[in-house]
Amino acid sequence: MGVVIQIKDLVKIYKQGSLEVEALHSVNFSVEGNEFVAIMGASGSGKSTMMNILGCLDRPTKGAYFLENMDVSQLKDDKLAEIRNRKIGFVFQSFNLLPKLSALENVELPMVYAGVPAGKRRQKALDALEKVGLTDRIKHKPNELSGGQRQRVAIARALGNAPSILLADEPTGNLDSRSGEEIMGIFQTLNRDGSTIVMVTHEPDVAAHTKRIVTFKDGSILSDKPVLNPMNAIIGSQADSGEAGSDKTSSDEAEAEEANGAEGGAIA
Amino acid sequence: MNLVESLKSSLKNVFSNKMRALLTMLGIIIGIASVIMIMSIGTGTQNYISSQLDSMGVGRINISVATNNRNIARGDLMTAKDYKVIAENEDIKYTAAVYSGSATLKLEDNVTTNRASLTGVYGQYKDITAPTLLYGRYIVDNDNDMATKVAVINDTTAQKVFGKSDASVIGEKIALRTNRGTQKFTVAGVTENANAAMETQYGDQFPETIIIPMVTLQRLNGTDEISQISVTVNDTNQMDAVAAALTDRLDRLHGTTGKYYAQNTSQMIETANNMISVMTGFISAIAAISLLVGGIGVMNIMLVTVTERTREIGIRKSIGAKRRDIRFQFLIESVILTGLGGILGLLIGWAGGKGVATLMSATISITPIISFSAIMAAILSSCGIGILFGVFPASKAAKLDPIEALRYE
Repeated sequence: MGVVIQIKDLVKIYKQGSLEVEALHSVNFSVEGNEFVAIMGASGSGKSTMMNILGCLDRPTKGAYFLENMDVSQLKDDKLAEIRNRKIGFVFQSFNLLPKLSALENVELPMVYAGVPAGKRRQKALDALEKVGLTDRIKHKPNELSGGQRQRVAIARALGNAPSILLADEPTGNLDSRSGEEIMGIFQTLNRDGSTIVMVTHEPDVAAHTKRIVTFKDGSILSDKPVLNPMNAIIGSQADSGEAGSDKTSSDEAEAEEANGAEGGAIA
Repeated sequence: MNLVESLKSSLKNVFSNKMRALLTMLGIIIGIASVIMIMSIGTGTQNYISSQLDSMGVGRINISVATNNRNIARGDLMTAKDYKVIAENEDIKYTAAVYSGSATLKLEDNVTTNRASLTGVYGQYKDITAPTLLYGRYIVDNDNDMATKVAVINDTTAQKVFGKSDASVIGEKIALRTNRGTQKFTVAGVTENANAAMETQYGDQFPETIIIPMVTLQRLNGTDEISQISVTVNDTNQMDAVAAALTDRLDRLHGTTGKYYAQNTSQMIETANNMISVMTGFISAIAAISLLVGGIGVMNIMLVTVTERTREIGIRKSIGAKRRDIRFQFLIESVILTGLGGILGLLIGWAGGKGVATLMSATISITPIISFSAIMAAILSSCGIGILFGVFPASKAAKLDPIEALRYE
């Protein structure tokens, strides 16, 4: 696999009235195919800005962004929407599923915008849901699913159009540690099967599951190191659990934070 | 995203908040319903009037001394001489003269009386009015020549006077009291009552209509005046020209100008239609305001919806919805709201028209008519309002920045 993402001298300046804030200063980095990268950094470090640009939700002020050798840095809105649709799979911290649609319909949605015919769409959505181990809950609405299950639906949705890259923004941030572990397991499996994944996280032990950690500070890359010995998620719990953390995702979050503190430090 | 997908998704959203959808539609429903109701009744009334006037005789012209003319001299009144002059006109098919009077009529018990309007007829009155003769005969020329005391009554009157309406009443006498004393008239014929519906409504207050020879009535009243001369023309397209020629002829005969007034049935239809058009136009203007207000209500709700669903818009955009996908989705929703309102309005208007027609059926039998073009206009205009007032909210939704939309709580 070749280079999936190539960023050259990328600058992002936000204008707030007369004030100009430079969120990214001439960033250079690239992601090869089948990599599993964690982007870390404190809030305000520029990692979210980076993520928005990588996800084609935002355009850089200066510099180039090649996605599969195509410069997407200055494309028009609708062209960017098409790139997001075909080449990028998003997984958000807050799942961002449509509450009125069933799990299956949520997964189908990007394919609806891509114009995939209904029958083929359904099959692909079912395949994607199988990959995340959620075949038994396809008719459920998001509020009938646990946090971990919701995030699995979101991952299935991201997989729908077979994107070039999966972008995950704090995917375990709203989950208890057990569900978080499951999600990381899914990402690892997907990565093993060939997916290229870039993930923003501020939790070191989550980052420890990836193969490479890029740390941002004050709008520049502070460090870019491979993870010598990635932590393996406990995959055994993937298919059967999940219901466990169902209706108390927010309170579980606090527990997750504590757990992270205890288990942290596995980064090479 | 194709049309079917958008429709499905929009319908889902509209129906997920039924109460709000219904309240939003209300302005459109009221607007469309009132226009449809008034139009259906209006068209029904127009048809009713046309058919009534048709039964009076197609191509009929009634000539009388202009009622708006205050200086009517004795010599201006029409007499048999005028009748002759008019009958000479070559464009005329039938000519008849009428002299009207009133009397009271003794009923079956020989004590009670009813008001009666006497129509003294002369010439080809029967050919012009084409009554349905049930028994006996109509007034003939000989009746006028001899000033006979015969009468043609209708079946309702026969029922009241004789307690029956059959061939046996022919030759019976009716007693008419005028200011010249009581006169006995022999029943020569019985016709069907053309005003039966109106009579049932007004009961005994409605005068009995009794047809007698004109000359007989004139003599009773000691006059040779004619109230009205009626003609039918050969060519109905020439009605206005013939009417003008006839009034001119009478003016020349009497040495007057503009003393005579000709009313033709096409004019009467036109007058009635004008009245209905004015009424329909007036109600439609009010309905248009209701539609406008309804449209603004839809826009308002759509703007609220866009704000409420900012996050959804962000999600949809982040997974690949283009501006036009979002715009289309909200536009479709707005059109569904107004279109559905239009259809509901159509049904309510149709039912309302039926209801009004039923209420009025005792007086006049109107069949409310909703034309295909009215249905199309109602649906298209309500959908049009959806587009008109949906464009702004939909564009607002389409222009949302995905990052900000995703952050919206």
